[in-house]
Amino acid sequence: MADILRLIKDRDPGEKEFHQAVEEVIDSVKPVLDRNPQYGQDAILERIVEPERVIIFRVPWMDDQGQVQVNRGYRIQMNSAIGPYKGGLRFHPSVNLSILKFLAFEQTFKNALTTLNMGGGKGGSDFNPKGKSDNEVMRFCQSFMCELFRHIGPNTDVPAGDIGVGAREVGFLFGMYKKLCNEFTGVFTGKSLGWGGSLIRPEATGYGAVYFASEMLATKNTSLEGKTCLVSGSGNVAQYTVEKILDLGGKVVTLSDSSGYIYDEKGIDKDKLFYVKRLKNIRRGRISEYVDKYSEAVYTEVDTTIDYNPLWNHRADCAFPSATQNEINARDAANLMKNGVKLVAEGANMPSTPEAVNIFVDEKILYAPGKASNAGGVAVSGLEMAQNSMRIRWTREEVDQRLKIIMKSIHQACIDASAEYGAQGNYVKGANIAGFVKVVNAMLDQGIV
Amino acid sequence: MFQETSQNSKEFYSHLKIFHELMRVKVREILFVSSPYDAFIMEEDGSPASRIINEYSGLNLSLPPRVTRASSASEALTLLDKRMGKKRFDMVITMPNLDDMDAFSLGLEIKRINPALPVILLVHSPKNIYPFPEDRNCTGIDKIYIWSGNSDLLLALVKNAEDSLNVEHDTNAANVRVLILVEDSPVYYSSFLPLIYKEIVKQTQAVLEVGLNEEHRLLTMRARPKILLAENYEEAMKLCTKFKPFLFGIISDTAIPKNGKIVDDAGFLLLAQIKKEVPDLPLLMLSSEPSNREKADQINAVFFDKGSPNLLNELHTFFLTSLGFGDFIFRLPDGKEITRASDLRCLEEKIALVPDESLIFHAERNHFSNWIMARSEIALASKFRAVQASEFASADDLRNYLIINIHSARKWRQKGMVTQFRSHNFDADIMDFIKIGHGSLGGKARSLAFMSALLHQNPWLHEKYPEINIEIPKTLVISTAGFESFISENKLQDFAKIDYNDDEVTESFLNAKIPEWLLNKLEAYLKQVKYPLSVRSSSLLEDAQFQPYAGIYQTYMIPNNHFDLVKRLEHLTTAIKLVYASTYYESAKAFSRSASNKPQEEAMAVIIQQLTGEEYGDYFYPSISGVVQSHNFYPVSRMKPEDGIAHIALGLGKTVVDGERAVRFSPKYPNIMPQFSAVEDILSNAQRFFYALKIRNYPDNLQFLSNSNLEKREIDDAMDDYPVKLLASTYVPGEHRIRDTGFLDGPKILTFAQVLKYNFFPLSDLLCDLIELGRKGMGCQIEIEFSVNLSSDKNKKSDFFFLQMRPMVAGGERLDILIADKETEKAFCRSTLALGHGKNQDMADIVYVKPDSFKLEETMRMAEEIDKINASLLKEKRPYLLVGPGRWGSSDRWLGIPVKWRNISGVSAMIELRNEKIKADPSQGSHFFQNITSLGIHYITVTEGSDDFFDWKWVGSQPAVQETSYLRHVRLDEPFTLKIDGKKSQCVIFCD
Repeated sequence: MADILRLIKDRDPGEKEFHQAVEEVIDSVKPVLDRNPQYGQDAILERIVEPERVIIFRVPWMDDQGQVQVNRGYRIQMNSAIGPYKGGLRFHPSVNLSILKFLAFEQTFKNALTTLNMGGGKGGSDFNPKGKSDNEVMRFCQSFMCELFRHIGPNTDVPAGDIGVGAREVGFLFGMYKKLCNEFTGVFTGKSLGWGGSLIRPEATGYGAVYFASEMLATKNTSLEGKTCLVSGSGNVAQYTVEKILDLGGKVVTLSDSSGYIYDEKGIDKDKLFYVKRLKNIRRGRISEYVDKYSEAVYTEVDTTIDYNPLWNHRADCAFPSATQNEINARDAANLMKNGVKLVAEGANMPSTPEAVNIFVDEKILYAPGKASNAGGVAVSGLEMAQNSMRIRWTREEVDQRLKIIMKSIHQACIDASAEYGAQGNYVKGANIAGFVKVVNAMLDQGIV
Repeated sequence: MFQETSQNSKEFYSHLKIFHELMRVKVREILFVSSPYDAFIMEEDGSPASRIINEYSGLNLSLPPRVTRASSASEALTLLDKRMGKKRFDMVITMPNLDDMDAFSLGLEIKRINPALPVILLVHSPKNIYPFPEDRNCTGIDKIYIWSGNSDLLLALVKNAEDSLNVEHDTNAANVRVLILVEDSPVYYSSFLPLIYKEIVKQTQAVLEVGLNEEHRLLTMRARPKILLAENYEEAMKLCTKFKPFLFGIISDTAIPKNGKIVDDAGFLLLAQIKKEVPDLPLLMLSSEPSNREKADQINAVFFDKGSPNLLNELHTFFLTSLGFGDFIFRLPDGKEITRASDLRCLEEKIALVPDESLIFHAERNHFSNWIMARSEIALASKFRAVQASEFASADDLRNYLIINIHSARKWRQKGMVTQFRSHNFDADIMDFIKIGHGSLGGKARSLAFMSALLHQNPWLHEKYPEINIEIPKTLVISTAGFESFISENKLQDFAKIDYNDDEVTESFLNAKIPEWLLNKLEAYLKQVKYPLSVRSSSLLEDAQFQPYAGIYQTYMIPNNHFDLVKRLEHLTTAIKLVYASTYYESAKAFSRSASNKPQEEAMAVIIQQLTGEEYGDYFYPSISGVVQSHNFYPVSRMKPEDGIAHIALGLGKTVVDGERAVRFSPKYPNIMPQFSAVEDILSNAQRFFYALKIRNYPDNLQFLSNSNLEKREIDDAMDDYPVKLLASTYVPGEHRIRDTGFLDGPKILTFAQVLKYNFFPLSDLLCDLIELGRKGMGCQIEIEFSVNLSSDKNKKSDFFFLQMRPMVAGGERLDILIADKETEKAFCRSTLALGHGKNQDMADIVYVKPDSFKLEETMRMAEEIDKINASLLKEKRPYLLVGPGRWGSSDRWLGIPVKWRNISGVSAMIELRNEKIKADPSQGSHFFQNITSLGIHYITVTEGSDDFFDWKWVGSQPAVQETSYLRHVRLDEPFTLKIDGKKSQCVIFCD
């Protein structure tokens, strides 16, 4: 294992982000490597760290002043063992080969974990959309696609949006692809609803986290019915987490934003949730305004002099961190335990610090790491591809139903992997291993290609 | 004995010839070198300045000087050259803001052409000229005046130049009196001279009594005392010696230059010396040091504290009691008072009655002629002076002589009396700009008048935008006379002197009464005007060049649609009183002090203006309000500084003015909005609230004190209003996308896309044209406040209203600042994005927000701490450098420390740090910011992690004077040096 790290460092010195990603992944699947000596024979690690294809290309475009600008475009086609390359495009000045390889590498296993047939990839450019006019952005996207189009396709590589690439950019990119290829296919995900996009996109992550939590509870023969839940955040993920918890009979007592949090002992019901949605999505206000409307709730402003988040210090059964990175530290984790929380399902990306994760694992509560429980977003991308390929558009209910099934199978994959490797109920290990094993087995099956 | 002899009459008439002989040298032709804006103020027919000239025509301005304008130095020199021989200029007045040459060089060039031609430099602030650059030859400038927007100064400086040219002749020809002012500071003489002239005029006119024919009145005024200005001891002594027989009084500063150095008591020595030579001479000693009063007492001089807020009143008293403008006091030889006479008629009556010994006592001492002289009755005074009391056989002969002559003089004066009457033919539909009262319009109204002229002179603008009405809103100005009479009738003068808190000021002003004459006019006005009105200040100081009191005074809106006229009048007068009150609010006074204006100079005009907007349900508001500036301090992307920058918001302008969320764009590149790049950015940066005036279902007494009757509404609550639908885009959550139309279902996001991207209304083009026009007109960088009313009716034009135009300070720099590599090397701070220009070596104090203890959620408490330190440094008169993260003065406490101007009024330089913790957009554009830049405060943005830096280690190693939870205050032994190269926006700060 040390060999493989030395190899990539020697071969691509300076790609620090990529080196780190490889180290972390390999570290997390150590039991798998130990148990499967045949991987060495087939040089699985050597192969998996080497992108199947890297495309770097010139993107010249003309700005509004008639001045020609040149940017660099990338597409990393990391791994197609289990499906077409799939991963976002990022337009940001910080974009470089190392960062994209790192993202593509992680994407490969994330996608594999969804149990859908999607390979891994990533791409983008050092183009900065900030301070550019709509027309400039369009001209850039068109020039970018003028090269990229020959490397992608609905059965080859299906990009999506990422930082700097939103609905507007996806539209421009897709339009140019369609013109060049003279075919309307599902070559992108994250499209607008009118021309191939899928429903349930905003809801997917929140719903998914709750579905995953339900599955976890089901292993203990219980459900969300009657459970008191702490939810942090108040954006899309938090809102749809609350919505689904309410659907499933649970009770939510907290929400937060960067300025503070509210605690509503009576529970945030559907009407109150509707108010929060308006407040945050339409009026773009602060969560503190909640208590102006519902005086039974208590607002607590962020206090940075204390080293814990009081939101996690309320009596509850379940916690859904849905706000931001590192919002649960060791002390918060201890508070959760003390308050009887038996389930933590992460909707945000890496909301728990490693120390907090250790506490959850040691206490053997139901803890779902984000890479498993927030896979709903990626799952809906897969569902968008499926709908495009079938030329069918599912209703909200159908997409939701399939999302539920996917989350269920992700859960099952985690359970199976953790059981297989002797860590029954450890979703962290289960998630790490399940994705990896799926990719590696496919590579083995398909021979040396 | 009271009979009038025709011979006497003739004799008096012939004496009038003397007047014609007086003031022979007049400044008739002035060459005014400046930007067109300044020229407008002096020249434009019917302009405020010329009205004031007319109103003060008593100052011998039967023929106001003609002003020829040159807008550049080269043009001025050409004019002087070409016209030499044909048309002589008597004076050159130049402003420092010339395009092609600095004023000092111009002065030298002019002297080369004509050494005798007086060249006067008129500056907006001492900062414009001080300190003189060391190597600069300043001999081309005869005198420097500081203009704080008071047109009286223009007259004073012309009159003063004339006086010094005529004094020799006039004293000899007609015994005209001489008053000497000894003062070396341009700041003070620029404010005293107009006061003295005004007082002299007032006094002279007051004693002229009723019923002088206008022409004679003017002629008589020529004999008013001459005022001579000396700037040092030697000059003063020379004048005193030369005009000793004619001295009328001396006003002197205490610390004046003697032998080329300021000597603390040179003024005292001067007065003491003169006192010896002319024992009876009224003396006035000025000093900013109250302890000098004792000295003044020693020589029996009147003493004034220069810092007194009540100088004008004190000066007034001095004139009355000491200079002979007061009553004539009849005394017995032992000094006992018998009776008084206040005017000639009374004098005549009393002379008939007083005892002989009193009559002779006064006659022998020339008291009658002196007193009459003070009233510019030269002929009479001279006549009396020419005869000796001893020449009369008896006291009764003397008495008869006096009475007959006084009576004849009075009789003659009664002829051809002219009364002024201005009829009120007000027609609201036709009259766009009207004025009540004879005083000044104030800065803001003056700039409105200028804009109105500008629009009129540029018809191409209207042709280019045929679909838009471009105009100023209908305007009524209550001149400063209204304020003055309000203050004096209600006895509110004390508020200038004493610092009451704002609530006390408000209460007293609300309880005061609007003068009857004003009330009647306002009632007549309201009978015709029934649309919503804005009522705001137009102070003399506000918006004078380089002194924008932006946002310091209040603006009030009134619906003005109540069915009851009495109620409407009550609302209007309440608003006016509140605007008046704001003159004496703490923040106005603080600003006034830091701009080195004295609060007592502040007189307020009030602008009552048609509020722009339309009715939407219960509310009234314009579609767009905004501010555009001709210079962009933070050009990003491909914007250039000179492309300008605009901020616009839906609803009334408070959103923009207060620096709340608004859309910021360069009118040249309306498509480029860095803050609106990604959907998330747009969602978090778009305007959420707007201000509207409630025009239905409002409380009977309105709500003046909360938000000036404005209501803060959420965009979301006005989704169906036409402007929102038109100007907003819609967020589509399912696609996480913003579509540029407000007519879809979903949350409305104000992007102004229809206007900025799709040119539904050519706002950007129009703004480009207007800043170009304004910049040329004002001769400097400018800022325009505007509002737009988009018509929903295709057959009706949309409106673009100019609300205000004022100068920015960005481009006013002349002398070059170079930053040496050596200086960069030793600097403890460097910035590549700095505002302001010049070199500052006044600061030794640094107050900084400790980087480790900075927390975004604690910004309010930081503001409180800054306020305290500011107050103590202000008291010690120690200017300081303030350093902290984020937008200074932001009203959003999440974007920076939400200080108000008064919390930081002692700063000389500020650093805005941008780093990982706080990445808010730089804070350009708020009114607060304008104040900072107008006071010449250096504003420096340091983006940590770029080429910029602030040396935390170094500053941390300096001993702290004071340390609080969030701040640290260090004081260096020696002042440090701050240099900004305004052209390159570079700044370094270093210790020598």
